[in-house]
Amino acid sequence: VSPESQAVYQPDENGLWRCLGDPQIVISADKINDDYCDCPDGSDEPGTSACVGTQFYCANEGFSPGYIPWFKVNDGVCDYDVCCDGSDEPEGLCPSKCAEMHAAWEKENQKRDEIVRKGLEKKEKLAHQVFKKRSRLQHDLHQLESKIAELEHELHQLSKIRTYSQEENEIVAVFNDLTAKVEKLSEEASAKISQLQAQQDSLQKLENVLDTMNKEYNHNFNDPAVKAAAQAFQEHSVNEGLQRDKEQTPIDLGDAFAGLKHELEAAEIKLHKLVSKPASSNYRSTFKAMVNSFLGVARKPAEITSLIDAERRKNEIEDELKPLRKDQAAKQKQLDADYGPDNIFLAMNSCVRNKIGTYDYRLCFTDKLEQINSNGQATRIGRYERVEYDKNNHQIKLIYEHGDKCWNGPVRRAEVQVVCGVDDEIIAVTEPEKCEYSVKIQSPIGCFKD
Amino acid sequence: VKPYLFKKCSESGFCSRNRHFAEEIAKQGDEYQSRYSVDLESLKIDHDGGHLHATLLKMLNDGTFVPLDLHLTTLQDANLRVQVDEVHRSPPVTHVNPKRYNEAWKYALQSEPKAREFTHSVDSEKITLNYNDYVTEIQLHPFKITLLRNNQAQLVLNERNFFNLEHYRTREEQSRENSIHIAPEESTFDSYTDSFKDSRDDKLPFGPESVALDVSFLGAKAVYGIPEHADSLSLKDTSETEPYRLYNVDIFEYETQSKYPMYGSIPFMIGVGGESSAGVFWITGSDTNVDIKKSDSQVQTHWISESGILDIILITEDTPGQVLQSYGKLSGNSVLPNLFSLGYHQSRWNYNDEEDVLGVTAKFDESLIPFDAIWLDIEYTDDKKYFTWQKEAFPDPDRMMRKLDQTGRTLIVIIDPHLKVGYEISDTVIQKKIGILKSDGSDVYHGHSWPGESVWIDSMHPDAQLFWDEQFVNGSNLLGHSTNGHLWNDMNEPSVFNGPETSAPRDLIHYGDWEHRSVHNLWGLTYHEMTYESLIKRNPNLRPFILTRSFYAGSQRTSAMWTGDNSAKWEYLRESIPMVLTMNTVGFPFAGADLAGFFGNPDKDLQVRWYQTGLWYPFFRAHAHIDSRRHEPYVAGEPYTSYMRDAIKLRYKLLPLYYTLFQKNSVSGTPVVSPMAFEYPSDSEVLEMDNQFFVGPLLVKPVTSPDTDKVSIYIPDDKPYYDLQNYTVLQGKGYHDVDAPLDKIPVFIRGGSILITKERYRRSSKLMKNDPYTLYVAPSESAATGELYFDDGETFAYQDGEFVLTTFEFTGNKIVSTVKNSYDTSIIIEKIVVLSDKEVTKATVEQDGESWTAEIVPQDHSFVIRNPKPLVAKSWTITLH
Repeated sequence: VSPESQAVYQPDENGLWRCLGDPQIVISADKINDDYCDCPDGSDEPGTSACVGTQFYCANEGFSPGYIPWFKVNDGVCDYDVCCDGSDEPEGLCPSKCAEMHAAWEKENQKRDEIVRKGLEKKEKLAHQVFKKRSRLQHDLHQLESKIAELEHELHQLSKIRTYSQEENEIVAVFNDLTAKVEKLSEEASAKISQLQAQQDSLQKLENVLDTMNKEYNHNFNDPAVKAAAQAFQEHSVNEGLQRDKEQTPIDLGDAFAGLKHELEAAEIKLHKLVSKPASSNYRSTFKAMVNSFLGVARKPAEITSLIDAERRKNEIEDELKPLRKDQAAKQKQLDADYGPDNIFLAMNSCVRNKIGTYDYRLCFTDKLEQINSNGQATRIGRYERVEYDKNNHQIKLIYEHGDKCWNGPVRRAEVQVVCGVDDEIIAVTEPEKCEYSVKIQSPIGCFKD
Repeated sequence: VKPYLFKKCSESGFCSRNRHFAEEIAKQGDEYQSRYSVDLESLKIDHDGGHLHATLLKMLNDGTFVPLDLHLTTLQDANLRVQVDEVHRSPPVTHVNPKRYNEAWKYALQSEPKAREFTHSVDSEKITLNYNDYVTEIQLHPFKITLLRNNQAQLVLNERNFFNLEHYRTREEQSRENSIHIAPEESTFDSYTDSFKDSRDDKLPFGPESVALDVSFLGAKAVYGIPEHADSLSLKDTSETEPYRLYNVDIFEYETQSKYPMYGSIPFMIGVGGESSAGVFWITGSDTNVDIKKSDSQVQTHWISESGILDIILITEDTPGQVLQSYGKLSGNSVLPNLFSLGYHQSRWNYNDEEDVLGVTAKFDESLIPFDAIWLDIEYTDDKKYFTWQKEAFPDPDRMMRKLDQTGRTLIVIIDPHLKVGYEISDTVIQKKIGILKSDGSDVYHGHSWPGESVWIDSMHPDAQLFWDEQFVNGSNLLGHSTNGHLWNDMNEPSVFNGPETSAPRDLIHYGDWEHRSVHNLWGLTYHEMTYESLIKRNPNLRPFILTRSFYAGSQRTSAMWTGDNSAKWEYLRESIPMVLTMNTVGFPFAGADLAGFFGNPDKDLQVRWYQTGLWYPFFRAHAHIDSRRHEPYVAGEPYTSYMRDAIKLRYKLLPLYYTLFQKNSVSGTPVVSPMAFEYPSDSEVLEMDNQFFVGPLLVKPVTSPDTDKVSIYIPDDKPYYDLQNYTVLQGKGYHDVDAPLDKIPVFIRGGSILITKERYRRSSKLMKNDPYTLYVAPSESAATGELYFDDGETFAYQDGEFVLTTFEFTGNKIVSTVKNSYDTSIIIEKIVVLSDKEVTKATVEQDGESWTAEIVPQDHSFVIRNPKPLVAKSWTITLH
């Protein structure tokens, strides 16, 4: 019993004592620590294993005192991790190790302090980088905002210009029509291309899988399904040739462009018709300018008076604004995103790669985590999802989700625990559940002042 | 299961031929003229030695005879042994032993059974042998043997004339027109070839060589035994189905309620009915099928084996328990297990690395759940090369095992008989030719298993033993210098992925030039026995623990078994009980099923119920497939984790009972988990019962259905049965409904018993070593008895008398402990709970000439003798006042 608790174990003048949690239960004082449990709360046996749930006090002279649970008392095991004085076991079984454990603890502490110190130094630098990066982001964002504001202002001005004439409307309609068609065409084309690409990738993967199966399956094992599949694949590979043996055929856009050319010719004819209509010279010159502008021959006039020119300019501005806004949003997102305590992960723009077991693991902090096999093929374990920071214990955990799907299993994911270290290094990877990884890394960002 | 992988009787030459033979004879009825008769002139009798030899004549179509050697031995520990072999047999085969295989008994029996003297008389019809209460009558023609006990016929051999020993003849002789060798009632299906698609390559060098016999259990109402099948405890009539097949195979995703062969086989059957019981031990190592035909007056069986001699031992007694004890004297009882192995085992395919192993251990401690052993499946090795470690994951196995040892934990690693080609172990096996050989005997056979191309060490080869010893010697790569490493022998059917029926081709050759066909069913035993032998040599004073998947009669002497790859479904939980009970009826009680199903993920209710059932298995292990999610008991969360913890802790509390039951088994062959039919064989109500059972004085009825909160339990007598949790009493023969919500384990102490427990939670059984005992006295008519055995739990010192054996007897106002054997230990009894309403005020304890007083603490339905503190290793008396 700890010195502070000694007092509560004093019997009364009749040699009786009351259970601490149930004062109505009175037992004689010699039943305290007699290795038999009398009190429902176990309070009569603080020094034995008789009562469930009690804590045994180890004085641990020469180190700091500790408590171990009842079931570790008198079980033949020297639980030095808590009871360095060995007082949890009968005399003589566990000689005290407090002195050496204290020394080892001190040494360990020093070593740890040194790592923390160095880690913190590095972390300071990282923090500075974070500061710089954020400042730069803020600066860039500011620039972007003014540029956008400027353009938006111009847009606003342009919108004040009067409405179209009948002729202008017709011409604009032709071009709008044309533009829309071209856009649609281009969208379709790119969708088809990416579709095709995806199919090719997937076919390639499948063929690789089948190829491996075909080469490595147990030829003698009697599984008709496997045998049939292997045979079918052999025929396929002979007849079709494998993906990897083929040239990647470029996507043929000839038809698309022929169509476009045809459309443009039709538009030209229509334009000529319009041009030959009687109209004011002013209109003619404007139209000429417009055509030239469309063909990219003439520079845009300094001051726009024509609505067609205005529309053209508006489109130009919109086109210019699109990437700017996108950039702005991205930078804003980056500024607002959760990069852990003090946004420290913002500084982690490199990747760390280490071999654990038979695989290499590559961790790109705010991007992804990959497992790379000996052939250099990478499997994505997950994309960076978020960081979890336990303030009280200074524990950082990075969560990666939506990795490649496992065969016969779930989508891969990982939790990365960060501990204090001077350099970035992946130190352990385990897979406690199939396709759910638990990763431990060391890094200065895991270092904290106590 | 993939049915097309396994031979049905109709696809199996010898089985099909013998079933055909039996059908033809049955059709002819009384008209049938048996071809077998005993030649009286050849009779040679050795009364004192207990032997009778005679020529058994098999008549061919031309009236000539094939002479067979009939050898009867009257046995001390059983009743009768009958052997029949061919006299002349000279097949022109050089690389295969020409004899019928006659050595199965060397594995099935612990030693050559002792004969006893008899007297005899002979007349023109029969020879009669008399010995003790037994009489054996050998009818000369047709050949028939009847066993009588107390003038009551109990077993009859060849009553139906199904005896058939396919004598050696060449293919030419057989196929000749008017062949004298093939009787009209015989079939020639697949005599010299095998038409089953996966075994067409079988050379069948001797052609047909089956041996079959019918045995009638007169008066029997039920028969038990012949594992391993996922079926009911009481064997079913097979007239309209496949026979029960004994052929050790790796059966993938086996089904319940099926007669398919499984991983192991024990060709021993017990018949029970009325006032007597009988046992049949069919000692054959080859593929065996058993047909069963039940009627009101008897159970008729038909045993059919592919090859080997006829070697059968017959036992007749009063009760199935006595039959089993006789069997134990022949085959040997289970060795007393290392105590740790009766605790809870935590396994998984796979714990990934050292950190994982120690992490799981720590999790158990944090969750206050005891466990004794953690297991490593095949992935711990370097690329499935046994005797190596995957270095990155297990950089220092010695260190890991030391850490486990600190809290009394054991590591159990798997070593399978298939050895990957291309490393020093398999290289040596090939070079020394100590592997199973190809059918021409030229070289070591290559097949496929987990590591891909592999060879199989031939554990029947004496040099294989020496080589194996080297791999296990202290300081070697696998177990280092540890003393807490034990073994798991899996895949020893043997499982050969590309072999017929997922096993070895039958014409492969073993040491002694024996064909695999003749030793198939016992080979798995030779493998785990080889491992046992090596471990004994490694550390002669430590009891090895070995878990085997394949087994044969005799496996109980050195190993534990489990029921293989079950599934996380309720039907497999239900099936586990008859399977474990069956093992207990054939002298191999150290049996269990994977908790909570190997394949798949159990729902939490199922998992809890499985722990509440599994805690009663003699072998209590959780295991899981690599694709299933982690489901160690701490994963489930509350309240499920607590329910599982309660179940595991109940097992630890009952370890003194289990250990005492195992000790009893080791000396007398009694079951550890006992079917109702073994406890109450004359109660016809219980003969088919396989969902409740006894563990010593405890009657247990596990809940094995979902959404159940009540069970019906059958009380087999008029004694009071005390609920172990709240001491309420069930009384009255018949069925009783009891509440069984998810946290309840229905278990009752039979009145008249004293249950001995240890109640303190420790991290492992080793750490309970010095803990005090608690007794529960459950009287019937104011009397109760109990028994306790213990020793150091791990060495062989008990064989030198270092053990405590004591009995307890309660007689109303006294409890007396009588120590029969003792050694120096200071363990005491801390608590005695008497399940009685009697008014008692104090107790006087007397021991060693001293006496002292212990207090009485009254409680509901009982009172407690508080801390009486007698030493358990010395006799004492407690008097109640």
